[in-house]
Amino acid sequence: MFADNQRISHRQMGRQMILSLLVPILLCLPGTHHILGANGLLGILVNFVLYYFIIILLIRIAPSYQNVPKFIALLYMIPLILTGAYLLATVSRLVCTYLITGVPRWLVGLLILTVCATGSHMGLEKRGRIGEVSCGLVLGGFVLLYVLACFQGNSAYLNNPVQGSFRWEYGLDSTYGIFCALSFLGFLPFLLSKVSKPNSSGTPIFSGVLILGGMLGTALVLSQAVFGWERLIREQFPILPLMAGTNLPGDVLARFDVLWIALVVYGLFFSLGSIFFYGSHIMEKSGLHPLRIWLLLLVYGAAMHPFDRYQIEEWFGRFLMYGITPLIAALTLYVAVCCKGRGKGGTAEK
Amino acid sequence: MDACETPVSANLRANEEYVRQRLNNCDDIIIRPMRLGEGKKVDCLVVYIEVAVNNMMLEDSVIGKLINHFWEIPPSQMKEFLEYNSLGISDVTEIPTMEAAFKAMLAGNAIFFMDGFDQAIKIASKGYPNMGVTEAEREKVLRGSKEGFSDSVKINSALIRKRVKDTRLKIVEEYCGVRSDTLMHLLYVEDLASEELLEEIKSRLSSFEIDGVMDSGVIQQLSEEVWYSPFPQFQTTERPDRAAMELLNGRIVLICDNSPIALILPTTFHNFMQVSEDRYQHFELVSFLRCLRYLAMLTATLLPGLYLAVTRFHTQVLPTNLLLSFAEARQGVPFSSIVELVFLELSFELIREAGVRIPGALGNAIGIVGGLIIGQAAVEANLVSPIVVMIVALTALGSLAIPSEEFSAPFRMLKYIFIFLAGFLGIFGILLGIYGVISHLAGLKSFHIPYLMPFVAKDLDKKQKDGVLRWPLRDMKYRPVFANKEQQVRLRGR
Repeated sequence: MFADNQRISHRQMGRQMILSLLVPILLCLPGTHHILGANGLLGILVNFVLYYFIIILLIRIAPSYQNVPKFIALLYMIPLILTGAYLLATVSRLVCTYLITGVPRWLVGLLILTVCATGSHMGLEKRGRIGEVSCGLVLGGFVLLYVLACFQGNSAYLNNPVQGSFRWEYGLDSTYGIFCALSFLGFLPFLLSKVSKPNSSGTPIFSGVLILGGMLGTALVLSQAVFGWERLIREQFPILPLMAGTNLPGDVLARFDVLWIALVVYGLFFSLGSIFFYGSHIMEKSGLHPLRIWLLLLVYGAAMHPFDRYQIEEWFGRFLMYGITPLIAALTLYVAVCCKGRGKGGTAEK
Repeated sequence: MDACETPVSANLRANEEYVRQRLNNCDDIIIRPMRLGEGKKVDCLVVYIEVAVNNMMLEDSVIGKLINHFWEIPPSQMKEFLEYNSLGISDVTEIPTMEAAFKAMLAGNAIFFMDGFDQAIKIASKGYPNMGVTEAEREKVLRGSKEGFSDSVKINSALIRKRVKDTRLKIVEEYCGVRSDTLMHLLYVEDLASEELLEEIKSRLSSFEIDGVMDSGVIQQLSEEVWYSPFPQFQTTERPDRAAMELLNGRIVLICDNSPIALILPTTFHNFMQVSEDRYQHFELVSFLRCLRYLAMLTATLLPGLYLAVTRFHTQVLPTNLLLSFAEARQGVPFSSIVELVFLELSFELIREAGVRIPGALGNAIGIVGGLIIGQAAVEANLVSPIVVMIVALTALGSLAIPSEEFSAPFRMLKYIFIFLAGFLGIFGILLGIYGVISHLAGLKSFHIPYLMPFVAKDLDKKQKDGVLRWPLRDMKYRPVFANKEQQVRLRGR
């Protein structure tokens, strides 16, 4: 119809991408794999260059994703299930630690799963609209956090040459860590056929990467300025104590870290919803939609059940670096080379 | 003519027999045989609803003039006289079938049959009694017209026509309801409204068959895309100026007979936060008031939930003094804060419902006195704490500040969901609720327009300067996304 939004716009795609990745990146990256200080900043800069070319490649091979074989679709489910499980485990643990005590984690996880999965099969437009409405709020919230955190920073912590000093091997490690976190952009080609003017979508995607990198870089600088190196390396999620220290003028609220954590949790809800959306979308494209329920069950099972006594939060980071990212890269190459021309058939979406 | 329809016979006796058979036991309908023409040689029959037709013998009524004239002309000229409408009567129509004749008669017109003439004649009359134009009750404004719609569809259309004096304003008649045969007017400006939208509306109206339509609300519920959503997908108004303004925005207005409420479509979330005087006031004031309305919406939905979340789970958020005063206020209250809040919220809803049903000034008195007395008594009896009375009062003010009653209803209901979510899960529960509501709203569309516009799909509507903040009128040069793309410019010059 005249204003029907059958496809999502660049703006919606970009915002959806930012919101899906922003909170996991800000929450989970700082502190791990030497993604701290100058090493982290180097990683961000190198990844800007790397992803500039990767995005061009992804846009070029997007037509091959129109009709991927079933076994490829199933292989794509592995990163989605494990990432979904990791996010569900992380958000349920965050909720149980910071927001509500006394409620069993399995119940919290189940509630989150239900809310995030509901309607995840209802199309990209809906997802785009949630992203468009929420991204500004979440991004604005984090910018406000940064502004307030600036007042607590100590420039001496940044100038200390010994603490947080740069080392090439750490820089490399952090570069690869950030590369892995952004490797989920490998799922974007599945959507590009539903984006208006897909061939020119490089700019919004790369802008999204720049925003994500900028937000992460600012978080790295600010957290070091506020905590100093010694404390920073001991924090599992440095962004959370950064929130605890901020204060609003006017003394209306004694503390409002709960509000920041709410923002983080909301962002994680969206990320988790994106996982279910992508899973559902890929399965539907490949004719595997009857298996959709398994995606939810596996995500929930993997999030709540420890593997060999280890919870998923403990091993996911390593698995992302040595399992998931290589798998996504291999699948991308396979689709680019072997599925070329498959999308030109009758099933291609117009 | 449909095959199953009965044609009007040239034999008046056959017509009269058919009419009397169909109208058996309809004592409100007058069947009056008469002999007209010079020398009173031609048998005629007039059928009409007693209260809906002017006194037919009076000179100043249309039918009276016609009959008076028939006494003076020879019988041979009567048929010709009718065929060419020689009296110059404004609304005289020939009707070929009995079914159409009954339909016209039941719409409040007189039907005239003449022996030897195989057509019935519809003679327009005053129609059914109605309340006439009254002041808009639900959408009061400080600035702008005070006129409100009446319960007659034709008067309502005329009120809009009075404001849009343009032949491009089209008014299409549709009928709905198998037994009620309710007349509806579909109003649109030809070059502004989208043709596809018009077709879509017509197809939705014809997609169901119902026995009776007593109000536009029935049409609304049967035509909504997402029937289970509590959020209204049609905007309503009782103000002709609002309807006229929306027509100029490229939207379509549907007016239903016997209903003083017009439906405006398509609609978006933001449309419900606008009032008609937003166009008449200065942009700074309008922007401020809109921010206030959005704040009111959040207050109406979330304030009780936030109170529960903060006092039950996240006490660290509050300054110590405030926390102590909350605790002190609750001393002696035997119930949990959830029960306390739900009890008072429900009491308020009862007062509100009672106030709406009780007529006139007494209703307002019930609202104020009931609220004061119940609140005061409940605090003194230690049933609730004063802070909860304040929370409930603020919530009520919030819901009353939402301009549209039908739009505030879903927030009033959501409030209870948020109370339970926050009462048992704290901020986490509120987050679950917010994500669920946003997810639901993001999936809603009204006639293919995303419900959350202009907050989403901004690239479709980027020239609009009428969001939460309204720009100066001189900068609002373009029509909203509803209007035809070729007719986007609304204001030139300045």
